Amino acid sequence: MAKKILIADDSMFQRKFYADVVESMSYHYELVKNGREALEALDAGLYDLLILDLLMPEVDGIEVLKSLRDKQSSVPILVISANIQESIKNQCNELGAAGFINKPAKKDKVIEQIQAILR
Amino acid sequence: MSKHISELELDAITEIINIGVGKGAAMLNDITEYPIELSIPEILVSQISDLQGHFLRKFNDKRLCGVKLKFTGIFTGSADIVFDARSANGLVSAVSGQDLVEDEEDLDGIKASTLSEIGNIVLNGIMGTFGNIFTKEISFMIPSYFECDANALPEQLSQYGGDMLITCKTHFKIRKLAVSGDIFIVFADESFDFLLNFVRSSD
Repeated sequence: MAKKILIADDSMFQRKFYADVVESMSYHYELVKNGREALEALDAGLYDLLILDLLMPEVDGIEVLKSLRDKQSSVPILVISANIQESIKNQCNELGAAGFINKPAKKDKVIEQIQAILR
Repeated sequence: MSKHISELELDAITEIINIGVGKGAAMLNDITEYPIELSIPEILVSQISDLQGHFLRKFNDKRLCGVKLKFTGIFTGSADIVFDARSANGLVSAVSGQDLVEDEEDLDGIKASTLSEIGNIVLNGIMGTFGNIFTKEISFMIPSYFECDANALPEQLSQYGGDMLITCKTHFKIRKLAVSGDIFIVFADESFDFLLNFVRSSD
C-alpha cells in the first residue's frame, strides 16, 4: 500500500511543490495550510510522514512538534523551513523531528530525506 | 543612546549586514538558479521625508510589490524586499514556471503567494544569519505581502519609531531575468544600539 504523507505549509507555492515531489515518488498526500489543520488531520487519520513548515498561522510548526511529542505520536516529521538559525534546528531535533531541510528545498534533497526517514 | 558612529564602527556594522544580505542573495540564487548582483549595503539614519524624496526619484509612479518580515528578539524591526511590479512578475514567472503578463496590474493570489514565499526565504536568510552570528534567537512573524507606490513606501517601512529611521538598504539585480529589487532592514532604535554595542565590545 502506498505511503501517505501529510504536508503542512501556509504557502500555496510550497504546498504545490511538495505535492509534486511526493506524487513523483508514487506516494499519496494530503495538504493542510497551518498547524491546527495538521493536528486535526493527524488526529483523524493515519500518516507515514508529516512534512512541516515552522512559520504558519494559528498554530506554528514548533507548537505542532510540542503537541505531537506530548501525545507521544509516532509519526515521523520532516521540518522544511526558511529559518536558518542553528538554535531553531536544534530545537526541532530536540522536539523529535526526524529531519530538517532549509528552504529553498531542492527536489532531490526532499526525496532523499523522505526516503531516508521512511526506510 | 547617541547615534554618533565612527567610520570604523559603520564599516563593521556594514560587514555584519553584508554577510546576512549575502546569505539572502545566495538563497535567491538557489531559487532562481541565476547569478545575483548585489550592491554593498548602505546604512542610513534618516527622516521619513528624506526617504520619500529618494523613493519618488527612484521609482517614479511605478507600482511596487513587497514582502515584509517582522522580527523580535535581540533585534526588533522589519525586513522588506521590494520590487517594481514588472520585476515581481518576471521573478514569479521564472520561479513558478507560469507565463505571466508583464503588465502593472496587481498580482493575483498565486503570484502573491509565490512572491511571499520568495521573500520569506530571502529575508529569513538575512535575519537568520544575524541570529547565528550573535548566537541569539530571533523570532519572526508571518511574512506579509503588500503593494504600494513610492509615496506610501516610507510608511510601509517605518513601523518602528517616529520620524527617524535606521535603515539598511541594498539593491540586487538578476540580469538574466531583467529583475531587480531592494532590501530594507529597519531597526527599532534599541536594536541598532545592540548592534552598535556588539561592534564596540568586539574591538
